[in-house]
Amino acid sequence: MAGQADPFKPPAGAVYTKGEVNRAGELLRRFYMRPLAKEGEDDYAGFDVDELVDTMIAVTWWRGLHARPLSKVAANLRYHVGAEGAEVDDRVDVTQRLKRRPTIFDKLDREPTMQLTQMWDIGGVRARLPSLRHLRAVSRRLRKSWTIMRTKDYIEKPRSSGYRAVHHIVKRDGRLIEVQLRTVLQDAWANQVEEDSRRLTVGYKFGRGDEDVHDYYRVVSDAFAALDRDEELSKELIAAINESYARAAGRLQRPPLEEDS
Amino acid sequence: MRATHALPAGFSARRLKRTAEMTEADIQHFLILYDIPAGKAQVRDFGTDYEAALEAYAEIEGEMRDRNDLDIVLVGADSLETVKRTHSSYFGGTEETFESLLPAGVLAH
Repeated sequence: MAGQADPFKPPAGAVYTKGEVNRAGELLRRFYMRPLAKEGEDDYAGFDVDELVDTMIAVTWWRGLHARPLSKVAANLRYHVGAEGAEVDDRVDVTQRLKRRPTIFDKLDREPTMQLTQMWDIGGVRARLPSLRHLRAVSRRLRKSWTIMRTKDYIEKPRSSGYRAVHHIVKRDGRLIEVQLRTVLQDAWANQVEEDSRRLTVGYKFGRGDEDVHDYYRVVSDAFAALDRDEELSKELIAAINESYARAAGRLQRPPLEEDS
Repeated sequence: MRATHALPAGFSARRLKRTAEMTEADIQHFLILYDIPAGKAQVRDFGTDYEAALEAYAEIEGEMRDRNDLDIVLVGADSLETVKRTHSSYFGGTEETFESLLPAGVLAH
């Protein structure tokens, strides 16, 4: 906020109430949604810089509380993936991450009614699994042995973007942790959308940007879903992939289709 | 040939070791600083010291808060190799796009 380096490090022994954490989230939401300052105007007009730094510290502190529960869930998930024989190339592909601060703010911005203490993916774990059958088997194991608050089955009902996965929101030591189960193909799809968004600085991941690109992502996701079900790709789907690729390739900086030979 | 022990079908001693012995204290933590325009990741390895990794994460986010060209993320797994597989787009996997996973001949490019 202010010019100097500020580590936003919670002082040792700092404790905040949930109410304080939520108020910190509110203030940051207002700050990030403020109108852009015009040339020469104070970018922090109407905000107390010290208070903003304090709220930043509270958010970082709250995120830190998810670290241990997140690791426990991740270690446990590794066990279940291994026990189910759901390795990929003989490896248990499970990785955890603590949400990046900018994406916490983006989410507050996108979800205007969400309270910070109700954000369920500050701690996230992801498993990359070899097949739909393995994914379902791991999912069943988790249902049996964990406290699952909510399940979102984006394989049954893909998101409008084409995103497919199964998400479980679990409670561990009082914290919400999001567990994402994806097949290798579902994971490749999601990572590609994320990578294109980052590389081309267009928020495709959040549904922004050109509709032609989203059409293309959707048909590729449909194709991967068919492959995950061991189905052949239909003629119609292959045609749709090629047509939408031709329209999206330029925007995505992919090579053009070959001319008919 | 070595004698085979009576393990359930599909199990290997190696798999048992990997799955049964890994606890949250064994998770390795890595701070990734990804330079978006350059397409290059720098990794700081904290081993199993989550506290140190968390402190560094907050500190670097604070220092780099105006750098929209950087992605900073703290991840954990059994090894850096796993992170490279699950977060391949940070590690030079950018040449291979998901088109390569479509069956040969589907996309005429």
